[in-house]
Amino acid sequence: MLTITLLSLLGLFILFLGFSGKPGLNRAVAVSGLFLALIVLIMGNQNLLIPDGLDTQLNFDSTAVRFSSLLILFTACIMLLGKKFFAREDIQSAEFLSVMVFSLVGAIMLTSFTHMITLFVGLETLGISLYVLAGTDKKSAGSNEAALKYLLLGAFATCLVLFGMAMLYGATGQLDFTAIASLSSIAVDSDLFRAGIFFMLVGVLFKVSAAPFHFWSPDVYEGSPNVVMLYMSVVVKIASFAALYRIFGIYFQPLSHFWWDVVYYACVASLLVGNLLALVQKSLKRQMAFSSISHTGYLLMAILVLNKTGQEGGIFFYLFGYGLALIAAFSILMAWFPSGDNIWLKDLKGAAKVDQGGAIVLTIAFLSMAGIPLTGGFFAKLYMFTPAMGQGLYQLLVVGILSSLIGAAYYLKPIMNVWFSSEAPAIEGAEKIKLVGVLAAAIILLTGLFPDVIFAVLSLI
Amino acid sequence: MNPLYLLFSPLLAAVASWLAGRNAMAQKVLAFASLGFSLFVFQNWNASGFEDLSVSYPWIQSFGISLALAVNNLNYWFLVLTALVVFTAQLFHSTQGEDKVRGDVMALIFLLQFCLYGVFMAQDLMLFYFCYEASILPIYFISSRYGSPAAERAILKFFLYTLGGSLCMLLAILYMYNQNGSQDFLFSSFSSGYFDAPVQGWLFLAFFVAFAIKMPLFPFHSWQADAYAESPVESTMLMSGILLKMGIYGMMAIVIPYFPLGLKEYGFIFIGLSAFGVLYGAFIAMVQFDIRKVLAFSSLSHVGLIGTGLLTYENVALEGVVLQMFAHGINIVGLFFISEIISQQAATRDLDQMGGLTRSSFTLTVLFFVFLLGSIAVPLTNGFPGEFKLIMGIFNYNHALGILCGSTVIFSSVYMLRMFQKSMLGESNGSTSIQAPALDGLRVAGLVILAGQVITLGLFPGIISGISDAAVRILMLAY
Repeated sequence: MLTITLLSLLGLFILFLGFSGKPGLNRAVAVSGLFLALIVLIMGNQNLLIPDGLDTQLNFDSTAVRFSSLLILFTACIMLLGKKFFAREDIQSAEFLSVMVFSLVGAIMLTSFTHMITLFVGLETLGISLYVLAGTDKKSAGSNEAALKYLLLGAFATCLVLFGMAMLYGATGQLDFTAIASLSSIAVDSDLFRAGIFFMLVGVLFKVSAAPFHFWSPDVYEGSPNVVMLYMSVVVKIASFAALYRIFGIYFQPLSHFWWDVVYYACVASLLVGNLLALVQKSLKRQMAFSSISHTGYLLMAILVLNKTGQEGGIFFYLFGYGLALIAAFSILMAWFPSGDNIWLKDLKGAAKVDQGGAIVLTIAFLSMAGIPLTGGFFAKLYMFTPAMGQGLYQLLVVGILSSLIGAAYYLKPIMNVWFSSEAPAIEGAEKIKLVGVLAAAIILLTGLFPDVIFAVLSLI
Repeated sequence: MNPLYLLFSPLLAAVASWLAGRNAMAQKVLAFASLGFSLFVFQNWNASGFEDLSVSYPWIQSFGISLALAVNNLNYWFLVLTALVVFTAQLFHSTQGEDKVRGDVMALIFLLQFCLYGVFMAQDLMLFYFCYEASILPIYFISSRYGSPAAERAILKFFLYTLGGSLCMLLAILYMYNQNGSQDFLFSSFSSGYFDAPVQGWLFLAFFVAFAIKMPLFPFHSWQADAYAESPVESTMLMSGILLKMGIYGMMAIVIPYFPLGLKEYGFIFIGLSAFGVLYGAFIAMVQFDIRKVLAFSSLSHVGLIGTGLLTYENVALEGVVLQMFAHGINIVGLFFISEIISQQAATRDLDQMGGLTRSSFTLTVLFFVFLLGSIAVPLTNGFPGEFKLIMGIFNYNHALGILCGSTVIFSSVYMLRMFQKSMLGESNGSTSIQAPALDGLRVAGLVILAGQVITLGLFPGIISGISDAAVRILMLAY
């Protein structure tokens, strides 16, 4: 709770700081504020100071603290990377940063709710902020399209969640997740309850961009500015998946026969749709959008396993590795293409001739997303596959293996363009040092050799 | 001496050669030093016996993966061959003239050596898999970056093919892990009776596909010819000389001991297919005009014979497998080395445009002919004992198949001698001026070391089989 309060105040403060007109200052304050919040989150007891009434609706258990710290850390990284974007004339950096911090508050609520109202408030705080962020690049038609599309479809998905909540309330008379979960599955078995679970699931699957509810994500990712796209594919993905995990992996796990089949088919569809469509893209951002759908598919495997021990560690590791790889990749891409327009795969050709260090970081990032050994992505996949094997989900694993193969095929495309093309480089600029990217790549390699490090760190939180 | 030293020495060398960059002298020194260290370790092990050479350290405890390494009668010769092939490839690279030496190529080759040592010494399935799959990366980057313009596609095909095979293996490994009560991946946790017959069948197929793609056995070979032809010759040497031996090793270390019932169930299908591949490779090699492709298809044919012998599960054939895999590694690497010198001199790889090279270099001719004889398996060369044992084993298994595979001895002399004749003998083709071949002292020394082994191992095959036959006897107990 302390963190939520702190972040809300930080957002307001940055808004007023905007009068100074110095983007660098705004960014510095925002990033240091985030790190302060991170320290408070880890050190302090978050369940203190929750006002009466809310105390039954938010619970900062270890799951919440772990995912929240990931969210704050990655948001800070993304703010650090957005230097050039914030410095642009037509971007109001203070507003942008404060909206980003507000959306982070929503994201943190999504990791810690125990009640439907807090879930809904979290979803809306995150969602509404994102509609604004997607449209920040006012003069770009793509950005405007992204904002509108995201608003319409996002609102639709929120409605589905809300509809599902109302039905669950009607069927059980409860809004509290633990209370519903404690009811026996025979007692709650009614058409209303089934429909409620289904609508809620569909709404949440929509938010994590699982197929077949994924149609918004490629357009929104492609149109949004790079910083926002990175934020959506890292932070928003983690927050919505944490919410999905909290609802279905924890609270509704005993009621799995109401939702398991839907998640199974969504998982298969996400793996196949995401990977097959990523294979044919010419725009790197669209490719990343479709690959993001496929990563949702891998993550859903963990939800299907219905095994509390180890499952959370696996999900955390996967989201951490995926977020890290995206941050490493975009730290380089944003330095190479500062104008923030669409990035085409062919634009990467010959880039290694100009910036070899950047090319190495980019290569490590894409290899990790493809799940090749020596990178953290390999163990991330292993943490998804092994429990599924234990559960006997053999057909699903065959799909998973096939899609990993397709995944390798398209993740190698940018690597091939960067290193092996004889054409003249088309990249616009190359900064000398990309500390965030280099650090992220180093951690990817570290977790690729010693994945236990992450669990050692986790056990401290 | 602890196997860890051998495992990590190439990593150190990789860092050093990365730093050395384009300094050819430093790279040569590193290549020699690394070979020297490896040979020293091998000699040390050979003298001390292999009993104490098994170590195990916890590595990834959340998964039960350990850094378990061992040296035994089976993997010893694979390790020796690794050091020799890697050295030859690096020798070729570092002696090709100051302006062509690249630190990243040398470092990647060392990295590959690290992965190969890991594969051959691993006593933990996940460590094995980890190194097995990681070994694709160095070759991928060397070949795509420094190969011909067509290399990018050819190597992508290789990459995806092998990755597909490896992923099948990964599924099987995870299945084995889940069935294993002790929740670890150690080889010693599994035994031949561990899984019942239908399960062994599936596991056999999953592992076999991975290894058959790597070797490659017919019909999993379609990546091979292009990948060999379009890559820079260093990586062709590595692919043909040692990478495919990972497949052979995997068959001997994992498939035969743990899934003998699966082998019995499905083996005969693949025996037929790979025996067909023996003849298929030979016939295609006869009509190729690209010197690299002749060698690529000859390799398909020779490895097909090894694969057929492996799958027959005959004692004498398995003994032949070890002999022949070592001989094939030496011969094919020597042949690729020399073929590259020839085609650089002639400025073409087209056999029809070459000729008359015997006059310009006697040394080259002799060396070429020695490797060629080894490859044809003439008695008193290293190819003979292995091929003889393999054919004998196949003949014991099935007479008709033995006769069919035996005919490869004739066919291989046809395509090899055709290649020699077209490239070395006859009149020099006027279209290209052929100067004295680029054979400096170091290259001659390196090739003489290899050629010496062709003769030595032909005369005394007991040097290898004295160690490896004991491993084969243990394998025969798996049924």
